[in-house]
Amino acid sequence: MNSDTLPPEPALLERLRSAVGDDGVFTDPDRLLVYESDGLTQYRHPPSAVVLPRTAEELGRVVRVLHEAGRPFVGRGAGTGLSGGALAVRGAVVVGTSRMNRILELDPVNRRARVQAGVINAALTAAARPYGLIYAPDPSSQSACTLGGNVAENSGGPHCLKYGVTNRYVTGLTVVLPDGEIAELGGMGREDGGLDLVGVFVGSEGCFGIAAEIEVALVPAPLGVRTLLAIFETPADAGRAVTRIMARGLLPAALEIIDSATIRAVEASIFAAGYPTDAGAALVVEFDGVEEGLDREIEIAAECCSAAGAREVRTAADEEDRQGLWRGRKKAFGAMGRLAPDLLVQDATVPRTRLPDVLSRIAEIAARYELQVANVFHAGDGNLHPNLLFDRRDPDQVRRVEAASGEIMACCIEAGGTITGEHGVGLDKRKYMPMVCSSDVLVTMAGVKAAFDPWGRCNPGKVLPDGIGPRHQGAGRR
Amino acid sequence: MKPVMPERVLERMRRLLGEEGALASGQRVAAFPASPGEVGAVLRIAREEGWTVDPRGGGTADGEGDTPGAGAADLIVSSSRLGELVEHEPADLTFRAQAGLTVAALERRLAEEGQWLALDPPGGGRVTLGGMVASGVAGPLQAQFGRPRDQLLGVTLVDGSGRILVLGGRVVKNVAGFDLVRLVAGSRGGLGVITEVVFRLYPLPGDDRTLVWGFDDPLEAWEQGRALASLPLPLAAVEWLDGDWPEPLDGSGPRVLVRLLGSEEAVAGMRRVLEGVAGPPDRAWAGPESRKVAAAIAAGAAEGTAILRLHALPGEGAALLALVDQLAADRAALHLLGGTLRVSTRPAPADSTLQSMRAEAGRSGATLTVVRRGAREGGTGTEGPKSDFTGFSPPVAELHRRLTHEFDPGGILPGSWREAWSGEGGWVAAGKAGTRG
Ligand SMILES: Cc1cc2nc3c(=O)[nH]c(=O)nc-3n(C[C@H](O)[C@H](O)[C@H](O)COP(=O)(O)OP(=O)(O)OC[C@H]3O[C@@H](n4cnc5c(N)ncnc54)[C@H](O)[C@@H]3O)c2cc1C
Ligand SMILES: Cc1cc2nc3c(=O)[nH]c(=O)nc-3n(C[C@H](O)[C@H](O)[C@H](O)COP(=O)(O)OP(=O)(O)OC[C@H]3O[C@@H](n4cnc5c(N)ncnc54)[C@H](O)[C@@H]3O)c2cc1C
Repeated sequence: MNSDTLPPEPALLERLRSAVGDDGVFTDPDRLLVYESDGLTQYRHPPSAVVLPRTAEELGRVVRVLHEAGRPFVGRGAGTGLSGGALAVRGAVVVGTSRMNRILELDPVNRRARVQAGVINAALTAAARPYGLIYAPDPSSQSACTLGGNVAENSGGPHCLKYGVTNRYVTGLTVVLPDGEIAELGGMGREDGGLDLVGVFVGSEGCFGIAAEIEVALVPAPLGVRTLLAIFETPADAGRAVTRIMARGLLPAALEIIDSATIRAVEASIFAAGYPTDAGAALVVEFDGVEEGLDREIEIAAECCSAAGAREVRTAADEEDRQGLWRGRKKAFGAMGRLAPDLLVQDATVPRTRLPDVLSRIAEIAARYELQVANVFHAGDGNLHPNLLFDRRDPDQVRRVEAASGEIMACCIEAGGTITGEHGVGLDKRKYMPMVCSSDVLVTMAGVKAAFDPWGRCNPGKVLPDGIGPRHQGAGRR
Repeated sequence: MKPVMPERVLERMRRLLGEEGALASGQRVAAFPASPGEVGAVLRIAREEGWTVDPRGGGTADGEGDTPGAGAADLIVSSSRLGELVEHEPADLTFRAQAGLTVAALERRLAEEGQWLALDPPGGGRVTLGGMVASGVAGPLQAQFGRPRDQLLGVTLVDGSGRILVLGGRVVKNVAGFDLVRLVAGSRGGLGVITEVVFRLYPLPGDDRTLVWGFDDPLEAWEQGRALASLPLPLAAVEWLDGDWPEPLDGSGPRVLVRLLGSEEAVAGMRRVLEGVAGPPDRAWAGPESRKVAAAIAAGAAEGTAILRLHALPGEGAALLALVDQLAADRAALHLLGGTLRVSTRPAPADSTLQSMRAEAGRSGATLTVVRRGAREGGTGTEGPKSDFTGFSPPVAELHRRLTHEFDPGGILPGSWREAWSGEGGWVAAGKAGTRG
């Protein structure tokens, strides 16, 4: 066990058990193993213990007990995060939301839902569908990830091009602050004239407290959908098609690109979607809304693809066809697993017009480090996922992956972009933060963190680089 | 407490900003910095002198500048010399501009490129980008496009200690660190002076139409409007209006407006569905005329002596209408999908009326904010309260105290002093405000 894993003393365990019941606390190493990493598996670190509350009140009691014991802790949803955010370092205890999975309220009149933080993203949309409503943000991990994790990461998804990301839809939060106090933030129909605490909590990567309950806005399910798949010789051509489509004044619901390495991986897997394996890139374009006008929009998009050099354009004839066109995109991550023992899922955003240029630079960087890169990305948003394939048992490969990642980040920043578009900073990207934030901004972020968590015990060791602290030492403390 | 030495402060400001860069008005001073660096220097002087500060954009929150907020702080920091459109990248659908640029001037520039900022804040032609972001207000288009925070990608803030913080970026997806951009949006000057903003843009839609249906009874209009708003259509705006509104919205009385944006086919399709429910509209405007209607709503709302804002769940708007029944409102507008009702009244309501409305609102879970207080019988219009908050729970109040301290350790910005001035509505406990004794 790692040196800073620290089993709680018996008295603390006893108090935790009395807060959530005996079956809600465990410390046996076998069971802790499940919690030693998230979706970014090169970071591993078992927690000191796991506690699973069932309600906001229980969650409040757990955090209060941990606070009184001076014990750091970290909230955890489904563990699909891709930045090491849910790892329990520095002796932290995991507070998981897997038993907080109830949809508390569905209010179709006000297009609103209230859920416990452990509700799975796709389960919410499934529950809203009978009312003709959906929860719009749709991360590719939506069948597993939780709303709590989505809130913490401000997650996006393929359809966020048109609909916007998580922070657009979270209207209220019941949060447990790091001292165990329960606070209501925001709420649809309520106004307190104060700061947008909901807005700043979303995207706080579990560092400001643990969300217990989440209120979200729902939107009407689109009445019609049209999808096309275009095949290109190079990702740069696909990127140019994206620019043309946007220049025509269209607003697609989704614009997704997968490159040749990814296509080959998908086609060789059980998820084979019938994409041509000699293609340089595939672009999925989707429009949604009222039925009228969709055919015309998809026609224009097809023209744009052809003009950018597409060698083939397929339009989905029906829903089954449409699912087929999407399959290659949706199963991309799953399929990549078979290309190499390990996959570093990268995430960065650049201004959309810089895509072709940045993609060739990334290819050049990967070639220089003799690494294979597989790109899958939300092209409409300029949100790249240049995934690096490697074997973590080989220290030299690990070193090259590390160096190449740094150069890719630098290249995206130089193009006017940023180091993460949706996966968050977590453990993984702390070192890059000074590349995008001035030291004054970093210190201010530390100050805002200290306003929520003056004790620094809530998800320690994440987001901010070591050595960055608030400028008013102890200012937040009462 | 009045500032002790306005002359000295004026002198210091003029040395920094030039003769034209600062003005005195009685015991108060207005400063007109022209760069983030100058804003920082102005704020550092204010802090040294123990002067309270109010950032100012177009001043639309204060009527013509002679009603409440105007006289409340010792120093007004105006954004009027920060009016440049710094960068517009049409292909990326983003722009960067200084905070003092008006939304109206910006839209004129963008339209030349076939693009627009899809926000229509109330207040008319003088509303600035910085003022809109700082107050977080949104007009009818919020139904489809949300509030300024939802379109904002980056912001430059000069905080209360004069630090220049460049927050966010110019890409539409960005989660590099904590989301301080969202914290600044809606902070009403409480965290610092906004000097620059970056927004995402949209292509101008192929078709833009506004349809209106008139009614005899406000409640009937509300019910029909809600029926339309509840259709599963991507409506850009659904607004209930009552009273006299300026051209091209002629006539008076209750009515429902729906704005449709999209391709010609999509707009025609949505219109067919709407007509199936509500019958043919009494009037329809297309293209530039439709945009004029939106501008008339934004500007018309700004003309009241007093402006009240009420807020409830969208489905409970009827309760808000009942609440304002007792006012002789000139104009009222309710976002049928957002649940915000804005009322302009002339003359300003009596304190007792406001108090009873507030109590009534509280009982039904609604909130009432006085946006503009206006002059009352026997009053000057310069006394508070301008706004009123329902009060924070203890942990939320504590969060505000700590956050305000982080950005404004000297307690010079409105988040700190507002309460001391009005007796309510500030974020920070009275007594802490200001350093001058
Ligand atoms: C195959 C795959 C595809 C993916 N696709 C996308 C995508 O398209 N878009 C995208 O944005 N992301 C994507 N992700 C990343 C990931 O799914 C998201 O970040 C997701 O929101 C994490 O949710 P989770 O419940 O798994 O959180 P976890 O991994 O358990 O935790 C993530 C972070 O959230 C915090 N947290 C969890 N619950 C709470 C809570 N209740 N309160 C406060 N903090 C909390 C944790 O402390 C941690 O810092 C993908 C991941 C995988 C594996
Ligand atoms: C009909 C009507 C309804 C309104 N409804 C609301 C409402 O619901 N809620 C609300 O808050 N306001 C409301 N307002 C006022 C609103 O703030 C303004 O109309 C407008 O959005 C502000 O633009 P402005 O440039 O005129 O800013 P100003 O009126 O000059 O300032 C508005 C606020 O923003 C701050 N501010 C301005 N510029 C900056 C800057 N550069 N940096 C930091 N802070 C700055 C000011 O200190 C002030 O608190 C309403 C106004 C009208 C006319």
